[in-house]
Amino acid sequence: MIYLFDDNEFGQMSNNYGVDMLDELLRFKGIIKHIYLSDIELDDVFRDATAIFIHASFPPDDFKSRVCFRAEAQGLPLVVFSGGQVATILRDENNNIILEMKKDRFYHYLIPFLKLCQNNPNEKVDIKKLVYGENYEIEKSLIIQDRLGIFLAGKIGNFNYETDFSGRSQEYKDLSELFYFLYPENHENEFSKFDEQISSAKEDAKSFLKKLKSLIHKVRAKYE
Amino acid sequence: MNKVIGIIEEKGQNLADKFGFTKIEYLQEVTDDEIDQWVKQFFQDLTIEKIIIPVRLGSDDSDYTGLRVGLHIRLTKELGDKRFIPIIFVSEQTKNEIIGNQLENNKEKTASILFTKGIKLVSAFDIQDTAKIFSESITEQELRMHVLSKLLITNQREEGHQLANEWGVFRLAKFAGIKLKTAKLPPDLYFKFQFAKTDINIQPRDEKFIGLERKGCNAVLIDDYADKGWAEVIKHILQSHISQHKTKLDILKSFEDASNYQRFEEQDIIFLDLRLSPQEDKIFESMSNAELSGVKILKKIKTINQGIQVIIFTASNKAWNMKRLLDEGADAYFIKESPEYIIKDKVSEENYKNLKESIKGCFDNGYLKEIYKDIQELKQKLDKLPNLTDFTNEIKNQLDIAYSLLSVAKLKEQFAYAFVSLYLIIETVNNQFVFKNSDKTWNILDAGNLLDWKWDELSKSYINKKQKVQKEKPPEWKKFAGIYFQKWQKSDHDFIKTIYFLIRKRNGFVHNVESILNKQKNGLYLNRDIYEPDGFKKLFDCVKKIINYL
Repeated sequence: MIYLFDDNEFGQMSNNYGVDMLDELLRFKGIIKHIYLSDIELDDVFRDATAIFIHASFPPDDFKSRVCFRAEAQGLPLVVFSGGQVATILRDENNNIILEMKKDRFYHYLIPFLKLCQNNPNEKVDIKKLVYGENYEIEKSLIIQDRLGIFLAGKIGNFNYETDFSGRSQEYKDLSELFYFLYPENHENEFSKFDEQISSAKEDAKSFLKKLKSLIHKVRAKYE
Repeated sequence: MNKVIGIIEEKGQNLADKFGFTKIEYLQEVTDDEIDQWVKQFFQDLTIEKIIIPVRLGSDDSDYTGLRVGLHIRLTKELGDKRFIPIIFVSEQTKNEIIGNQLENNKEKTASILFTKGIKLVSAFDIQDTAKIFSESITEQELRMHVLSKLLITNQREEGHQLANEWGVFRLAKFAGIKLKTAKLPPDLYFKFQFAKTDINIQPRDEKFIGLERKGCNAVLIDDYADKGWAEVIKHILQSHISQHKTKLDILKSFEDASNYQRFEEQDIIFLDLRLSPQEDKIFESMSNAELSGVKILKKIKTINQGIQVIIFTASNKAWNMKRLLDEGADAYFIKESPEYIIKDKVSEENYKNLKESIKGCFDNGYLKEIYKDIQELKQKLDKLPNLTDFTNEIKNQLDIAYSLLSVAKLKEQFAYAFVSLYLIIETVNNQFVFKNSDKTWNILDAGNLLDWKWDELSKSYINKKQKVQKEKPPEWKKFAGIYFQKWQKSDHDFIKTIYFLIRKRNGFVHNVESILNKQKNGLYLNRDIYEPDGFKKLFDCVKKIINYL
């Protein structure tokens, strides 16, 4: 069960997001519970919690701290959302914890996220899909495209696929994630084929970026 | 310092070394406050000719933080001309794709900067070539005319009250001609954007004094944002527009401080913020008058003395809220401007001038406080008189009515109505003590017949020749003279002369007799002060004496 802590003090959940969020949440009552008061037994919550979403100003302060502490201790996905925050801040060492997320964005993505959870009841709660929205695969592949673009531009003239995309590098992980998006059932084989082909072709950085863009084009075509 | 091409890079990236740019390391500055500080710092450290910024920066690349950094450069006024440099953004997406992504995913529309002059969006592989040839900087005029109009930057804060408090003080300071020392411009992109749109130099044109030139003034500011520039700007307005004499401004920053304050009656003017706690902001529209902290304080002040002059500061621009305030007894209001409803400089300037006019109005009405205080004392005295309940109640009511007419008087006729209302006290006294007999003579209670008092030019006094008044309706001044000389045994003949002229003044207005109203002596009008507070004050001085004789 996902637990959503929002005191909804001024009725924002009904008024601020285009739809009445309280009504919307009822459609997902099997997977999310909305808590608006702190008079709840936390042991009960953490017995069946699969994720914790909490408003940064949920009162009182010590209650919010206790909830966050227990969520982290239990290794649960945790999202702290607030009105004033502009950017999303993920915890560096644990991307399952979102320290700050803008409230509008959180609620914008929440219902599609819950639909996703409802349709995949056996999967673990993947908080990234809440951060990046419904089109997670597209969004993430575009991020990878930009990231690798800058990386490859730095390799103009001395690009060596085998050393620059070594197995433990972030770039290698990014590349393999693209194959996961494209071939979820068979990504290891497909990536391995690509890997071999590039290694033997001695690509330069620019032509490699072209190949990368073609992969991303396919991801977009698949998920759009 | 040599001019450099700067490139923002994260740890481990090496485009700066590779292409000979100067690396500006990005260290997860994600909030506007952090970005603001960081941008100011690297522009101070380096002389940057042009700058290269990846559109995605940091751990959550989906936020397009690079675009945010670019906007801070363009909109941070403190950077001066440095903010106009060419900016090259780096992405493998097109600008249409980026803005489409922001639209679809309900993000801030920071990508609007990509569609403005002085900006280039390139693939990482084109950085080097573009950096060599792209040199399109902009001018201040271009920023104002062509860039700002294309940007779409929305407010990210929840609290409008806070917005208006932080924004409004800078707007007021601008037109009051003061550079604030105690307030810092908020670093939000939204604020910077709105300021860039509105901030042109305007010097206050109207420098004339607004009152209290001789004695300076005592004032109080009640505002939880007093420290954020409001105290400074109010003090500046009072000092620069009142006189060189001492101006004292007490600061109360909370509802509790204001509730415990004991010296309201000593003040010439009180500036009171309507909402003294940020919590009220969220539910302001649904709150009743009585629930608002500012209204509670206003009521307390007006209970002490209705004549204490209070100007309410409010962040609301709704007409019905203004009416609520005036209904509650506020003497004037000032709208703290908000970036939520940008108004033209000309209107802002008017807003500032209106504030000065309101302050002047409050100073002009300062006499109300003394009159109200005197009325309360007179009513206490009347309460102590034995066996005169109906009579004293009637006088008390007339005092209240006259005061309430005076306190709202703005037009000249309204001052005259207040005068006429106060005059009725003389008639009430006459009716209480003077009675007509069946033979048309008149009796004064416990003082015999009403004698026929007349002004004697030779002795410069009122005399009677033991003759009784025998008239259907003697003039009111004559009845009053009888009470004064015969019953109270008083002897100030000038006082009766003053009463005579005051009654004549009243008759001139009520019966519309131009010859009375326009009567002059030594070039001065004698009776036209019925249309001004002065006329009321003269009559009130006499009424005070009369009540003390009772």
